[in-house]
Amino acid sequence: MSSKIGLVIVHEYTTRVLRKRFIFITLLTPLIMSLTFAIPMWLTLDDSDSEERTIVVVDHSELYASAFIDEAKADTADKRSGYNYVYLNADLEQARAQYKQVEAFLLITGDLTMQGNTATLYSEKQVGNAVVADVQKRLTKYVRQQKLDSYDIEGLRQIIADVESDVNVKTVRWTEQGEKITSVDLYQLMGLLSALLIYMFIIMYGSMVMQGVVQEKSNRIMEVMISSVRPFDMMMGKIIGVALVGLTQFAIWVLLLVIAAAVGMPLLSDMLHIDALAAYDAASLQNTTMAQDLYLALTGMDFVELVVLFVVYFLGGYLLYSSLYAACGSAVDNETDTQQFSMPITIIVLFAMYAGIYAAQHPDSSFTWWCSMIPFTSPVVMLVRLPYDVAAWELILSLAVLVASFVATTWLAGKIYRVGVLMYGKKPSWKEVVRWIRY
Amino acid sequence: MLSISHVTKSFGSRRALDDVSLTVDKGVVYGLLGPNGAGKTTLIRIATGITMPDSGSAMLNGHNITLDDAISIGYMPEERGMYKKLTCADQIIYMARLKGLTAKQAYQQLDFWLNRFAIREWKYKKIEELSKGMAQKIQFIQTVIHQPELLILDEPLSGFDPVNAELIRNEIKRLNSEGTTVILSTHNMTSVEMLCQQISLIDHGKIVLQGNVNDIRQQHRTGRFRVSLQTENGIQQTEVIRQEGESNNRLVERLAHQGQILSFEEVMPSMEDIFINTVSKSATNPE
Repeated sequence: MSSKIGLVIVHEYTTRVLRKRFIFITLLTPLIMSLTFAIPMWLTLDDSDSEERTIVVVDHSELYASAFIDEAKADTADKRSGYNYVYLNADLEQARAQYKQVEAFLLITGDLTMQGNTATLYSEKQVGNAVVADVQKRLTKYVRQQKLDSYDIEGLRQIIADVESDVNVKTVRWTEQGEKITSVDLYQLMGLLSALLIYMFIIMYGSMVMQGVVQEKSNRIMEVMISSVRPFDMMMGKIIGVALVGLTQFAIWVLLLVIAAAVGMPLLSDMLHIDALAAYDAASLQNTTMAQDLYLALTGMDFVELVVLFVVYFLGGYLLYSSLYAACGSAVDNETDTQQFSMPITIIVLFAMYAGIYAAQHPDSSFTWWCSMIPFTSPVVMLVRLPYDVAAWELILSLAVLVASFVATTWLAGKIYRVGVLMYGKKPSWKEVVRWIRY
Repeated sequence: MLSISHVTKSFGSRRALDDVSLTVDKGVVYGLLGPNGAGKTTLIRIATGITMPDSGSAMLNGHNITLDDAISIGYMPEERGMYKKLTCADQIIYMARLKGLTAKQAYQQLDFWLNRFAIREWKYKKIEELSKGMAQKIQFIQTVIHQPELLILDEPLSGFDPVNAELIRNEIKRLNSEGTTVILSTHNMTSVEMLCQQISLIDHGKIVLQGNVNDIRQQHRTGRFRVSLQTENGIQQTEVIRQEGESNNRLVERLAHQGQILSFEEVMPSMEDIFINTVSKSATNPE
């Protein structure tokens, strides 16, 4: 009998993967994704290169010439992202007559250190947020310096720069192997990332299973199928087959990402001027102790164990949910009704997500513990808990419950399929579904 | 081989089958007749283990039928369905493998049947490209490909033109002569006369007529005769009805007075007549 599950898996897998649509979507999705990132980026780059937008500064106070002119000219990096400022000592009306087609006119009427509201932007068209932000940033920075200077304390700037500090608390856990440097941030991030990945996978491929079942119903093929293969084998084969399709798709995406990174990174850094990037890198790595800690925390974790458990929970969660989706597909007979029946599943998946987020903040609470045992939430919550030392028996118990419930829900889905597929034309009530299970 | 006894099945308040019993012996072609909605498909689903009866029993070779039996039975449901995106070969091979054939056997059988129906060129065509009749043939092949001992066909001839209907009828006959027991549900009375040895006529969930086809036709003789007479006005063809209590000889005597009898033949009732009569009778007296 188990060879039949194999047959169904092969059928479900090949019919999906060899279809043109699959190849198309698999290749197109990353393209669209990268385009959605690249186009706005390219647009902003292109924009500032081609036309420098000009802001005319009309300064009646005659105090802020250097705030715009000096800095803007000195700093080339700034010029690229910002605006071209023209400092003018004239009337606003004159300036308006003199300059056409500029972004805006900045009118400064008084000393900004005394009164914060003497600067006004005038324009023909509504100016964007970026313009206001840029002007504000420049003025604020300048006025702050001015105020600091007005105290006339020797080396004050130096002092200010010096007291600017960044405290980083290291977390160390005493374990049997000795002290272990950990990183709470890293753990949270990893937990949430894997939770998100599981969530996406469940929603995407769970509904693929559901559609498969619904299609079989609307094709009227399942009466033949039901008399050819046991519903349980059928369900199991379908779920595993689609899982393999999903994994194939993911693998292709990862591969494409690696290729894109290898090819694209040099290109990209070329485009963004390596100097600027290097400067940015240097700044962010200034705090080397933090980087070291992160590195130590990473090496402190048992990666093999983490990856294996991630895969196990990932698959376990997917299998459990997709069997529910399959049951849902068996109960309805057209795609529009699937919405109503899959709603509870989606809510549970969402709940699991939130439980995961909660668990990341409270890894030791009893709510988290229970959620890491309950099969519907354990794939997400246990992954979040993993870095915080989970006892072996807890893992085994949680996994056993997960696997058992997967087999149970698949069996249940098979039952509903067996009866549900032969009912057409009417939407079943929940009461009927319960009766089918007992049947 | 298959015995159904006192089976009752209801869907909600509607009684689809009411105390139905029938026995299908090994090696026969058994016809299930009845108007639309009479309960034939429900009966077939019980016979294949897809549906469970509310009461009564369905036995195959002496044991209760379960869904596992459906796999050994060759079952062609009325609702035809195949994976539209598959090629004919892939569809048939997949079903054959599910029915337990090895890959090698499956390909051998596939070639055998494609040759037999002279449809080799369809091998790599997709199901969705086929016409209804063509798809029907593929469906027939996938039903019989594992050489089942018992073949259950629900409306096997619907959707076929007369030539292809004849082709399928001949295949059914051939399989039967090689020892396959066949149960077929149909509206097509010509096929009943040509294929079936025994029938059950179901109406409103009840069996209203059951037995050997020849016996049934004997019982439903109406005493009608087709006669050709040579009279003064030339050759006359008429139908006469034998009167109550009259023997054939008396009838002939009576006819001989009218002219020279050229031919004298009893009109046997067609299954169609019997079907219509029985069903309309049961419609007028429901109990």
